[in-house]
Amino acid sequence: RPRLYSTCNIHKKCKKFLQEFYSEDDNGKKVFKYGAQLVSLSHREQVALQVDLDDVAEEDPELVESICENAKRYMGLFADAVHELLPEYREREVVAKDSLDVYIEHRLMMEQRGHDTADTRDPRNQYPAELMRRFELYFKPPSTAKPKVVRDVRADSIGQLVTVRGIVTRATEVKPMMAVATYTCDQCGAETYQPIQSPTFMPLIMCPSQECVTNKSGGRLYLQTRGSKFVKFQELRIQEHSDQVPVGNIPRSMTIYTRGENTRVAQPGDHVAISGVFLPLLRNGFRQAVQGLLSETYLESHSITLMNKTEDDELGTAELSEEELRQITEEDFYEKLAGSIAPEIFGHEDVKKALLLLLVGGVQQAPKGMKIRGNINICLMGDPGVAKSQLLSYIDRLAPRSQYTTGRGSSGVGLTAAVMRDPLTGEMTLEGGALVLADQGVCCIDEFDKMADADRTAIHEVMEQQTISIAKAGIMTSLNARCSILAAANPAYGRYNPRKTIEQNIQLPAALLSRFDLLWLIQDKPDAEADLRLAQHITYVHQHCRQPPTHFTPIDMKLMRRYISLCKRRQPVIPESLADYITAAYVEMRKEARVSKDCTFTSARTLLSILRLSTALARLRLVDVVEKEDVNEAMRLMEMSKDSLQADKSSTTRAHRPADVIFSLLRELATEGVKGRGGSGGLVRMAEAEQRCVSRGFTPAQFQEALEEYEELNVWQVNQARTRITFV
Amino acid sequence: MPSSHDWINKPLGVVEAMFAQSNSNPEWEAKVLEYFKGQLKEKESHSWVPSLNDVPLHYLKPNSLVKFRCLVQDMFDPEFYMGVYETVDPSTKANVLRCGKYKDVTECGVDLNSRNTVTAERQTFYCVPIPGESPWAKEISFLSAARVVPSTSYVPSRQKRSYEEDDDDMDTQPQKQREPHTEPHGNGDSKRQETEAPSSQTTTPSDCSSHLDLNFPLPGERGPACLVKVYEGLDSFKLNDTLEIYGILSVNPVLTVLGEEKDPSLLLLNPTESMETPEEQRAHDPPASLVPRLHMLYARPLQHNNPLLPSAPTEDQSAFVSSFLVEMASVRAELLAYLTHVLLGDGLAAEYLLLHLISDVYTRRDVLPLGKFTLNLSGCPLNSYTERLYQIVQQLVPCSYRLSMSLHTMNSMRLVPKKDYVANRLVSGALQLARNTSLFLDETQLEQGQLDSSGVRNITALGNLISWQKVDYDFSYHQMEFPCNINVLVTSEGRSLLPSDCQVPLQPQVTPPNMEEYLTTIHMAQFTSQINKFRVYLSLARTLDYSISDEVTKAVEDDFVDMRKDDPQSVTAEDLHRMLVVARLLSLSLGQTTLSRDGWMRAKHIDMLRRSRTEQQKSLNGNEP
Repeated sequence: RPRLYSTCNIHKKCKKFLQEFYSEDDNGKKVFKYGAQLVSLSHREQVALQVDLDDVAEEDPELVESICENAKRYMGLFADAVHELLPEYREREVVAKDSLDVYIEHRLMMEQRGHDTADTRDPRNQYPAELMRRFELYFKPPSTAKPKVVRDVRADSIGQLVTVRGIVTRATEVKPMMAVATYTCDQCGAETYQPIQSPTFMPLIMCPSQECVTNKSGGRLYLQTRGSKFVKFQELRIQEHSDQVPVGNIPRSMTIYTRGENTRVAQPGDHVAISGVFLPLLRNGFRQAVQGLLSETYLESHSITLMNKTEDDELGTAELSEEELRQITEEDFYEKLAGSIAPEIFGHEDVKKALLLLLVGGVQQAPKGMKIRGNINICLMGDPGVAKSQLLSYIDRLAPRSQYTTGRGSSGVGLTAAVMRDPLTGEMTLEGGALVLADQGVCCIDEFDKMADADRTAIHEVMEQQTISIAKAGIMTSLNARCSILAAANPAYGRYNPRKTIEQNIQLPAALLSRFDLLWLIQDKPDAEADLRLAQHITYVHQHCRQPPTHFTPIDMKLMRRYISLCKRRQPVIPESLADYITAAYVEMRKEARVSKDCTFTSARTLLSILRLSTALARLRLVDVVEKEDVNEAMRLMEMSKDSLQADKSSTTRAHRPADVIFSLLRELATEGVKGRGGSGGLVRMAEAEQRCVSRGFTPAQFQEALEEYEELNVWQVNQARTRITFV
Repeated sequence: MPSSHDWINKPLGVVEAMFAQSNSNPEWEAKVLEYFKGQLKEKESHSWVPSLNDVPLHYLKPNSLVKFRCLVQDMFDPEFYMGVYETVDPSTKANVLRCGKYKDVTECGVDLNSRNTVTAERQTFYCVPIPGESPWAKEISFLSAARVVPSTSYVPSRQKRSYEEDDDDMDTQPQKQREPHTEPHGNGDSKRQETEAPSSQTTTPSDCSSHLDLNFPLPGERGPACLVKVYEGLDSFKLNDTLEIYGILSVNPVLTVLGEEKDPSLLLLNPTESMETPEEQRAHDPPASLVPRLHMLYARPLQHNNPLLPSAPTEDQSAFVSSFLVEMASVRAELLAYLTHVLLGDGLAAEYLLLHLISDVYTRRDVLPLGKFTLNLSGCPLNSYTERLYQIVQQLVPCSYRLSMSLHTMNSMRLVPKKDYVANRLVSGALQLARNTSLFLDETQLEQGQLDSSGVRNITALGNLISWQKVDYDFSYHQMEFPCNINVLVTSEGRSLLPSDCQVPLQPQVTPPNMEEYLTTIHMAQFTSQINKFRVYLSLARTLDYSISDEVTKAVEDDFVDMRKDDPQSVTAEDLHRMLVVARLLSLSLGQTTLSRDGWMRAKHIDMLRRSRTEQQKSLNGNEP
């Protein structure tokens, strides 16, 4: 048990603390933190005084302990101390702010002037202290105190200062609550005061003044509203966060009473941290008699802090411990982290690595006002049933901020933003869609290919500019949508056809596809060894009812989140020395793309993607400079993603004879021609054809060869002037 | 032997005596629990305790020990009460310490400022009878309870009354208004139907819900709801647990008065008084005559609610299991024959239906539930065939519900439970079901038309339920995932729009001219004893342990690789998952607790048969995706 102080002793202590507590600023000058506030309190410029218990701990740690144990009592003591100190801090005449100020001033003056009353007590004590006080006093719990979960606040916490976190589910209107009732007597005119502590009170009726009592005049008391003191009162109900609830339980809730300056701080739906005193609610009268066994409880709030979302805040507060860091930054931490993404999905190491980089994100560049996004966009394609959706939903769960939606279920408006008319006020309001809500996070879009064309265009802007522009119903604005997009798409014909281009397979426009940093094709390819491992994995699960032991234990989701947020704080730069290397590599890629029959696009965007990926890799290693290995790994991932799109090597080489390719190109051209000109079928102009072939990296000689070869086969005819090719 | 039954009739007396002896030694609480547990362990003793499920509330003695077979529908916030308090005797002025446990109301003259007061914590669960409990299960448990002479808590002359009469009697009581009593889908037992049919017309659901909504998950449910006060082991209970609770019944009318006392003038000066909204009051303090309070002394989690099986894992049960195992194969053959008849001579579909009926989510890893086996029976004949099929399934399983997926129900029905912040309670939905409930989704009822947003949400919820065996309860500001374990059977014309683990197109071998008659004849041909055997079989097969030896695992792996080698598109990881589940269920259905090579081959074989059938169906219907 903490030592008990005598009240008088503590009172002195409080006063001393308020007067003498100071901190030194940069110049070594003393700053009296509370002294300055007392001045503004006495001038009625400030209402709430918050006593930081960390400050008190510097002076007297034991006192802090007792305050936390019995906060209500100490609140009164501190308030008394402030009340006594205030006149000393008054530096000038105060202008009355409201009628109660005038009233109080008036009474004090009366008291001083009228010496007719016998008693010679301090004039201020004549009136109940609660009436005269125009300030509010709150405690801020010490930073060492851990926030509690609502369900951990139990009977033993009664009377203590506790901090809880939760989401506000209900907030009543702010109502006036009587703190001091003032009555006047209809006979003698004397004023009587009644401080009110409990929620209900019995109004006084008979005048207790000397005059009335001796004269037995039976003076009646009337409540005087202007002389009474009211405080603002609001009741909140908070509920636990979903991640604080054990599986299979209902989230618990707690009632919060807020008064004065703490009212109107939170609204339903807000995530809040509230510290206050946990108290039982005293009922009286009949209710208590029957319900005698039960007591309701509430939290008398001292401070309310709004938070963005649970995780965001939690991440910031707790630094990773040494051990946790060691656990992560082991030898093969990159593989380990990637493997911890969706551990229940077998294989796909490279895809998981890419997703890990998506979560970490690259560094955003803003040279001369131009903005180059740092967020990494990834599109997963693949045959049905290759766990695309599982990967998406895992990322959705892992990312601290994310939105999950499907292309089929959402319209363009649902993704971007909608202008809504408020049914009550008739006002137009802007409501963010999934992309806006995922700002600074990840937006997972499943069934990307099922989206209507019109809706898909809305995403173009987001994917490069990271904003959404609205021009609707008189509202013109631009909303931030700085999110990474993780899309999943099914091939158009049920299965991915490697002989066709991506556009044909996915039926997405090239403009959109090029905005993805990585396009990944997850295919179900037969491979005896992989099959065996897959079979072992599945049978193990069924045999032992759990996941097979891997060479590592997957990292806990919470730890992952914290590590990723740690990574995100780094802003690695690409050193000058690497610039040449990257440019050379890029030029090489361009050349390669031109020569080979490439189904992806190698453009300036590719270069940016490589930069993004390598900065993300540097972030992952928690360093500030990008190294050559990062660039290599980024390019390897690029290469792997392209490889996945490439058809089976065996089948491509067969179809790769230049003549055949040229034939198919012309064929395509011919069908395009049919569509374009409305059925002058199978006619291709020679110049056009040659141009098309050369642009695809064939030499004119190859073109001529193919022309002759197929002419011999009687597939097409070339006219005399050799200007037109007609398909037979 | 009145004294020996004191623990049933006057449990509070027992508690108080033990408290008095304890001299405020805190161990007395454990002793009380031990005592009641010990009493209940005795042979048949638990059947002396009257059950709230069977006996109408007004025949039960207040403050006596009762039991209640129920599902935890909602958990309220914990409440603080005076565990120990002091009273002042007005005549002698002596202070007496009293125990506040297991009570709602105190005696007069409580000394509120006593230093000896101990504040303790308890929690309230809102419990409802197990949703969708089949009529036969109710009936059998009622009859078995009536068999033993019950305690003196209800009038002797009533003991011999039959269940039907009892039902009838209850309906004439004024209390009938507490529940809309409708039986939308009749059960096989025509006699029961007759007695209940009139009452379903006398009360309409609407006038009831406005009065007091008892928050049952399924429409048309009846029975008492109960506020259970839980003192010990709060963490061991979860939402949607099925429990048999033994506790002290409290129906003190004072509890009702509390809710009504509300002076509007008081509200003006006292803003805190409005803390509880009227809705909240109604939800948390309903009249005790409608929603009795039960102070829990002992709770037994129920693995199943099949009254034909010993419910506790005692020696009794293991003896019962081993004796039944011998019969297993023969009962299986009979049941298969029966189901084959019901499924119009389709043996393969019957085989799959049987496997489906014993499936169970035995574990889950991360998000992946293992052992779920949702069956889609496509190609069902129209015209009330599915309805009759449901009635037959209902006769076999202890818990079931048929959800007719018509557009109207999908758009209007609440499937997912939702938190109502005004009343501060979890408003139930049809997917809040006990474990192993058979959910029969009838897609043949679906017609063309527009699904509105709630309809889309409902369909999504059903899809999630099937794929992940979880329901995302709606908490307005966020959703919370509640794992569940529900056997979903989808009947449809073509392939179902919902996902499923396996689809079996029905291939009727017979086309009876009158379906109704055909099915009724099959049903009537079975003796009750036979049906009971089936019931025991289905519940028992589910509880058996199962393992796969390393050797067989190896064989399965090699097999899989071989199959992939021939044609990689033919077998995917999903398929392997499913075949392993089929193999498991197949083995269990034969009473084998390990997978044999034969079992695996059989599983492979029937899965091949099924797949060739779906392929065939596909080519018939053209190139459907």
